[in-house]
Parts: sequence; structure tokens; C-alpha cells
Amino acid sequence: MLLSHVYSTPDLPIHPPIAPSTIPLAALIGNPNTGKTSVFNMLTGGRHRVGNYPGTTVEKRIGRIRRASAVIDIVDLPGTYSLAARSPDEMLVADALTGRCDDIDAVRVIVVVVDACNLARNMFLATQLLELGVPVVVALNMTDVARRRGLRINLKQLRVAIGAPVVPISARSGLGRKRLTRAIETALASDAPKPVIEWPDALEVAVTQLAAGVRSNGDDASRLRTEIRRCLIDVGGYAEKRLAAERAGAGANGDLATSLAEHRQTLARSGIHLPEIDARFRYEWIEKHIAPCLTPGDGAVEQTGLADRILTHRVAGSLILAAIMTAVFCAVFSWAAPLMDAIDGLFARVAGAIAASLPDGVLSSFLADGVVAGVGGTLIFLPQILILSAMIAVLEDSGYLARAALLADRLFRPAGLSGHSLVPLLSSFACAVPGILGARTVANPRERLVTILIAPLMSCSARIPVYVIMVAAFVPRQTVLGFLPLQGLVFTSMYVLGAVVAMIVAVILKKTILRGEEGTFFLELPDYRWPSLRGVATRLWDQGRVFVVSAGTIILASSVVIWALSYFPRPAGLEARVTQQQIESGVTDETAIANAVDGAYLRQSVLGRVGEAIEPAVRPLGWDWRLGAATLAAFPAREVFIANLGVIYNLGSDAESETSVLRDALRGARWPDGRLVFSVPVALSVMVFFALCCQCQATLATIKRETNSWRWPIFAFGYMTALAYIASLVVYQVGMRIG
Amino acid sequence: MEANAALTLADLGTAETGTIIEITGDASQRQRLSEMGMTPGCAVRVICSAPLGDPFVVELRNFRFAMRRGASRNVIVSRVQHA
Repeated sequence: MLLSHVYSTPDLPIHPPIAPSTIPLAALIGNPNTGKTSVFNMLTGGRHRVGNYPGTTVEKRIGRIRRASAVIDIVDLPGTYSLAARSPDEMLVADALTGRCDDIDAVRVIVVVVDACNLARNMFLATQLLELGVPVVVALNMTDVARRRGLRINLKQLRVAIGAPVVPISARSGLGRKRLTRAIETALASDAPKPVIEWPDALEVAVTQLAAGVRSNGDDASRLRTEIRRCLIDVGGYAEKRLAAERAGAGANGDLATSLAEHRQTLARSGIHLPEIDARFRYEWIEKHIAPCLTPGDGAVEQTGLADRILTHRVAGSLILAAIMTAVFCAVFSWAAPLMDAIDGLFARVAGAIAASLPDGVLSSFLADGVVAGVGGTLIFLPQILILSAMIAVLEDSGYLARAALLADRLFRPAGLSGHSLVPLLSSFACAVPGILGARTVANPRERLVTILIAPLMSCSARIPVYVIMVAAFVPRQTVLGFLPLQGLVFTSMYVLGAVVAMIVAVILKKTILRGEEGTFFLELPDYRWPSLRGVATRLWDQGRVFVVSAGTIILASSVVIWALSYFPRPAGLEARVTQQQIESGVTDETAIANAVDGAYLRQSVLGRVGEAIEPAVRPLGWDWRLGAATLAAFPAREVFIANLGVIYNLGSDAESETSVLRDALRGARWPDGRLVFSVPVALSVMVFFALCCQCQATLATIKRETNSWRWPIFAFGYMTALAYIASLVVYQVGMRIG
Repeated sequence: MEANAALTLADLGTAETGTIIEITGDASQRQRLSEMGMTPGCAVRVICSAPLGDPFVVELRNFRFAMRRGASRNVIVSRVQHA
């Protein structure tokens, strides 16, 4: 399996004919850190659709360029350094540019964004694009920065060298937008550029022979040559596998892999080494033809160098990193709190208004406890998501995130991860939902998936109420070693437990189901730059919208299902019977009676019955059925556990973790034979269970959205529940033996 | 250490410069590094390193990137003496 589920090869013929009537499609492509997204926003005015490529985790953004004379769609392809595809993102780019991506039309114009300040390295990809047989427009971005640094570029000479239009722009300030759109429109009617690299004869002879072997009717000869050259150069790469699969039944003569290997050997004998020849020839061409167009300045590399001397310094840099990460954590953790409380309060008022204006019954309960709870349960995450996304966007756009990944890399290596996982995992201590979204900054797709799967193990703020009540009620107020408060120690150990287990799980995942070729850790350190307000705003809008729409739907649906399971059946006469019993036993307080009725309804609901049925399963953890039922009903969100306990213990759902009423009720809870339910081992077993379980539908919905598959949320829920069960079993059983 | 063991990028100290002779290792790694501009004859300078010395930052072709020590042992270089 490995990556096949993340990326599947569409089964399409090479280069399907272009449908004439549709809106022409341009593809935006470029190295990471070239400001490609800013160019996209500039061209489309920020209006675009966001989705996923089918069967992949790769985000797809398509926008529209409107001109008086034409309408052109433009797709923002993932940033890549080369067309020699090895990662899922790169495979997607390679497929999209050759008409193999079933989700998008054939590309009619390629717009390659190059960083004017880093032209040599950026031209590597550009020279590859010139060989695809599609018109190319070179968008020379950040020309304003280049000019400030004294870097001068001879445009006329550059255009002649490349043989394609070169448009100087600055996407940040919007400079050159009209010129670029005009160039794209003109390119639609233009011929493809001539490839610039002249390959050695021996290589070209090999390409000709191989092409004759796989050629079928309707192939464009020069495109096929480019494709064969790619197969030959990328030893063991994606191009070869793809072509072999496509031509397998189509009369390709002999085994493609065998003939490629033979040709490579022959070439090696004549001194042509693969895959190095690709880079060697392209960089030689760049040195010969592009370097003369440039008159170097000196300014900014020095500035960046000075900043880096401090920011990546072993001591100072580490302290600054710790300070910035603390600020990020505090922001997600506490700055979001007032906003979340406001949203919570608002939805409580809406639910209250519904309950007050509608007669008691199914409709009122459905709207208040199912629908409003579901919508509120989605929107409550927005403050944290938006705050974290804004901070990540600023850190990333400024260039600092790369430095943070550099400094933290060593910490994550034992777990098989890299420094890229720092921010997503750290923010998961506040909430896994923004953390999982933040894992988009993890470049390696397998590491990103591991990060997503372990993020929910970090003790998030929703676990705090559970910890607080268990610690306050059952952990004695005493000190260890004379000065360490035991309660605080137990509380902290839950955080350590989650983090340690996460690292172990990461190692296991990387060695088992997510095993695979170790990608080369490569981290470009871009020049420091001021983040653009518009870029940050666009990202916030995209992330917020996508979360509310796609995760929100799942959260709403699951809230309604859980509501139904805890509401039905409603046997007639139960309310009267319970009220009667309460009055007979001397209870007169109306609230207490109402709470008793609610408790009775919950106990005989589907959820309550399942809770009772699973008592044998939770008994080894030291739990009674009420704890089991409250845990089951806490599937939507862990924090609901406390409210559930309140209902089950007839205290009403307003029971807060701070209230001493619930604490006393828990302390007094007894088994039918009169023994107390709770003891220190039981409390610890409950805490450990909640530390490790994945009782959070928002997390699962977010994993579904980010991995574009149900497989991973189900996997995360399964493994975490199993871990939680085993760990609390061990804690309880060991705890009982040592007393 | 063998007297004539090849000098690699990992052996260069901070602020030292080397000239790339060749890249070793498997095809995918050789391709990745050469695509980044690590081609024979190209000068590469060690800029700084993260705490514990790994990963470390190099500069070549006027841009900077970080790589891990392990991968840098596949980059055979010759030391450029400072003038």
C-alpha cells in the first residue's frame, strides 16, 4: 500500500486531445518560496475554488483570469524544484502538465514563477518546462526586491536566451499584473518554445530507439521524446513506472525497464552518468546563458546573513525559538479562550431561546441539543484555527519557519520526523484541530501523515476539565519529596504521557505501515521578508471556509446521531414515574426532580443501554456502567464527559468541573454491593483513558478532510482507543495491586 | 581515519568552502542534490549549524539550504584554501 492510497495514477491515455469549447487552462508552477501563491492571488483577484485532487491530500486551487478579450482558468500547482517526480506533490505536477490528471483539463499555457533574486536555481525547473511542448510564460517575480538589492537583470538578453516571454512583476505590490495577463493571453495562441538544452548525441540516440519501441498512433513525437528522456534520466523514478503501466498492454515491445537499464549501461560506458546529466547540462546552460544577464548586487544576502547569525545561533537562536513557540502556544491556548467563550455563550443562548420558544419535545431537543450543538461545536474551533493559521502564515512568509525547523530538527529525529513537525505538534497541546491543519507545512507527505496521526495524542485543552475533576476529587493534597505537590505532578504527568506515547507511535508507524524510502531532508532558507497582509488574509479565509464547510458537515451529522442515540426511546410514563418516586423519597426541589428525570431518560436511551451492556468491558478498568456510558456519550468531544457525568448522576448537564457538587457525587458513587466506585487507581485509569483516546469528532472530521480519506480517521480512532483501553487497564490493575 | 579517505562536505568547518567533486549515494539522492545545484565544480560554503551540529546550513549558487550531516557525507569535495 504505502503511498498508493495517498496518490493514485489516473488511467488515461497520454496527451488526450484538447476539448476546444471549454475555457482554456493555464498552470502556475514554480519553486517553493518564489511567491507563487501571491502571483496566483494577483492574477485571480483572490477569487478561487479550493478542493483536493481526487484521491490525494494535495490541495487544488483554481481561479479565473478575466480580461475584456478572454477568460482563462488558472490552476495553482504545488511548489516543486524539478519535474523528476518522486513525492506525491511532484507526481501530481508531472501528471497535470502532461494531461494525465483526470480532474483538470489539458494545460494550454505554463506560467512559471521565478524569483529574480535566485534566478540560477529557479531556471533549472524553467528549462525543464520549456521541453513540454506547451507555450511558456516566465513571470520574473520580486523584481522590486532585486532592484533594492542592486541586482540588475538584462531582460532583453534574458528573453533571447530563454526563447519565451519574460514578464517582470512584483506580486506583492501588484506590479505587472496587466502585462502578465496580457502575456498569458498572447501565449494561448503562440507556439511552444524551443527546448534550450542540447543533449549529447549518445543520449538522443538512446531516446530515439526507446521511443520507437513504445510509440503508438497519435503520439506527439517531440513530447514523447521528452517523456522518454525523463524516464531514462530518473533512475527508478515515477516517469518510468507511469509509462510502463500505461503502455503495458498497448503493444510496447519488450519490457521497458529492461531496455532502459540496458541503455543506461551503454550510456555510462560512454561517460554519460544518469541521473546527474540532467543537472549538469542544465546548470552548465544556466551558467553560460543566464548568468551573463545578471549584474549582481550585494545588499540582502548580507542582511539575511546577519539575521541568521542571531536567529540560528546555538544559544540565542534556541532561546528566541523557545520564546516564539511559547507565544504561539499561549496565543492558541489563551487568546482564543474569550472568543471561544463568546461563541459558546452565544450558542447556549440560541439553544436556550429555542428551548423556551418551542414546547418541550423532540423538535425542541433536536434543534437545541443536536443542530445548535453541532453548529456551535464547529464554530467553536474557529478562533484557535484562525489564530494558529495567522501565526503560521506570518512565520512561514517571513522565512522564520524554515529556521525553526532547522533548530528543532534534531529533537524530532529519534521519532523519524523532522523539524517541520514542531509547530503542528506544539499547537496540538492547545487543540489538535488547528494542529492537524498546521501539518500542511510538513514537506514530506509520509511525515505529514504521521504528524497528523499523532497530533491528537498531545493533551489538548478539552482534556483539562477531566483531569481537573479527577485530580481534585481523588488525588490527595500532599507533597512528594517535601516540595512537589502530588496533584500538580499527576496533572503534568498526563501531558508527558501523551507526548512520550506520541513519539513511540511515530517510530512504530514509520517502521510499519508508513515505511518507505527516506526522503532527503532538504530545507531551503529563504531570505527574510515582511509577510503580506493580503496573503495572510487569503490563507485564513481559505482555511476557515474549508474547515467550516467540510469538517463542519461531519461534526453536525455526528452531533445529530449522538443526540438521537441519547434521546430515544422516550417511553411514556417514565417522567411521571420518576417524579413520583422522587416526591415519595422526600425530594421537593424542582430542579433536582428534573435532573432525576433527565438521568432516567439517559439511562434507558440507546446510549445508556449500550453503556450498561459494555459494563463487562469497562469493569477491568475499574469503571461502572455510568462511567462507560458517559465515555461513550463523550464521543463528540471529550469535554462533554463532565456534562454527561452530571446527567447520569442526576446533577443536570450544567455540572462544571469546578463544582463541588459533582465532586461529592463522584466521591459518593457506589457499586450495587455498596463498595465505592472511585479510588485513586480508578481516577487515574479515567485520566489515562482520556489522555490517550480520540473522543473528538472534530479531530476525526479534520483528519478526514486533510487526508481526503476515511481510512485515517478510522485508524486514528481505533489505535488511540485501543491504546487508551490497554493503558488504563494496566494503570488500574497495577494500581489495585500496589494499593 | 584512512589517509586518503575522500573529504566530504561533512568534514568542512563553519565558514570553510569546498568545491564539489562528485555526489555518491543512491540515484534518488544523487538526483535531488544535483538538482539543487550541487554539480561538480560548484563552490559550496558552510554557513552555520543547528544546536548539536546537525543539520547545518550551506550556501551555493547564491542561496542557502539546510541538510543533515548524514546526507552531506555523500558530497565529495575538495577544500578551497582561503586566500
